[in-house]
Amino acid sequence: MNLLDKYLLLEANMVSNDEYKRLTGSSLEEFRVRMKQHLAETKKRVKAEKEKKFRPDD
Amino acid sequence: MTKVKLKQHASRELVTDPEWELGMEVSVKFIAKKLAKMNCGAAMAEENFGMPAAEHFVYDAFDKLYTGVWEWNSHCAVHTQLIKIALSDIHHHLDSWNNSDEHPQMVEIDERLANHLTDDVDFMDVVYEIAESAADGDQDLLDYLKAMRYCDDYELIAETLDIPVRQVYQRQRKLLRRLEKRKNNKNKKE
Repeated sequence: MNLLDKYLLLEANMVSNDEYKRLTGSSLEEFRVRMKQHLAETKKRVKAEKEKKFRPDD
Repeated sequence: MTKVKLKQHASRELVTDPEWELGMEVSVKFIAKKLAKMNCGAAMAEENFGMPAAEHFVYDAFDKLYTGVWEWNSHCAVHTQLIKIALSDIHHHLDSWNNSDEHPQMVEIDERLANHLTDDVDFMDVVYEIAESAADGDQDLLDYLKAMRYCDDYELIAETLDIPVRQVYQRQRKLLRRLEKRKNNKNKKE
């Protein structure tokens, strides 16, 4: 990681769970659940689009 | 459980799911803090996005990076790329918010934050300015920063400065400790 990577990581790491909840109204635990779901959905969508490209007649 | 470490990758295909997850978590914390400082009011209200604004911008950034809509940068770690994309999208969102007749209340963005948000401004410049100030006249740290500004390879930096690689790591750690100390002091004052 370069200095910019580390600096941004440092800034983010200073945001505690409590502060995140205060800032967004949502807990980090809740975020993690939604984020994993979003990641899985995006991957699924990209995979389906790729497959469709190979089978354009479907 | 294996500990996930964020690092630079040659291409997006090499990023593992745990790395994407950690990258998004780091980014959402950074963006949430940044948005709070900007005090954008209704422009960043949860109702606009159906979720906290920070989360919305990070998911969008992830989609752009993952699908290749945003070009991969092998010199930056995942979280840095996500943050850059999210900041750019926030800038565009605020621009269209301010230009829309439906929103009579304009969002004022302070100049320094605006610099963080503008695509044209090199994001590194802002960070280097902060790091230079944290170096506080320490010539070793300033030399390291100067070399670091133009290359991100530790061995090349060591060669440029004519010092062993381990000293490059030592200088970086020293600088990061100073940055952390300054941040902590600033947070206490706030």
